[in-house]
Amino acid sequence: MTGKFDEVVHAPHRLRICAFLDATSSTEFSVLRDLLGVADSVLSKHLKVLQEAGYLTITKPTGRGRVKTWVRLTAEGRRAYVGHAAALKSLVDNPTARHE
Amino acid sequence: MESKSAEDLAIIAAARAAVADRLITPMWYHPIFGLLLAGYVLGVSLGDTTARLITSLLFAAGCLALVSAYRRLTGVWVSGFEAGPASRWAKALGVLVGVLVAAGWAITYWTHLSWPAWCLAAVAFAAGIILGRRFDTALRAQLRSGL
Repeated sequence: MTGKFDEVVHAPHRLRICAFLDATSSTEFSVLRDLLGVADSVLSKHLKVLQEAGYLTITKPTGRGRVKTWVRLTAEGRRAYVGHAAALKSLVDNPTARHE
Repeated sequence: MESKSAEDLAIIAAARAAVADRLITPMWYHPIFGLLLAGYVLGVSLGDTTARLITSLLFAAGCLALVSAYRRLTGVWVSGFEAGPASRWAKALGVLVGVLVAAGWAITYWTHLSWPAWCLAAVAFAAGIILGRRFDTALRAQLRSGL
């Protein structure tokens, strides 16, 4: 599997976000913020880019206490991330290979 | 280009390892899950239709509350059925509980004995703890191995 590079996923912060989300079913906003070590606004910007690409969904369940924001990859986002990771691995394993 | 790709792969590996680091299941999680399973097996085996319905609703509500507490504490959730190869433990538990519930219902129906249901409930309790912990261990190892 060679996969396909994805420009939306490619940026380091977004790659880190996608790699984390791919390993979970859903993740709370503050966990991603701590992972990246950035301000809320920076993370929000990256999440918006991924959301606009249809790669993730953001939910704010209502209930008791402080409302927390939960993020999860969509099937499309998971496909894009897996393809991008496969393309990276293929390039490292076989530097002469061509990619889409 | 290859070195940039290698850096990106390192970013991915670090992110997956970070997930593994966060998946620290509280000590009470699996025993409570085991109790929920045991209660479900008992309720379905020994109760009448109304009791079975109530047991099923309580079981579902208990599982939802448990998941909610886990999510609140860890900030992440990994469904047992979305965990790649580690999911085999969750599936095995699902099949086992299905067998235990069916066996409990059938044995009680045909023999009118209650002690087999208690034995099956004990098996469900132990399975919830053992297979649940196996799932956790497999998932963390899988995340750290880069699968």
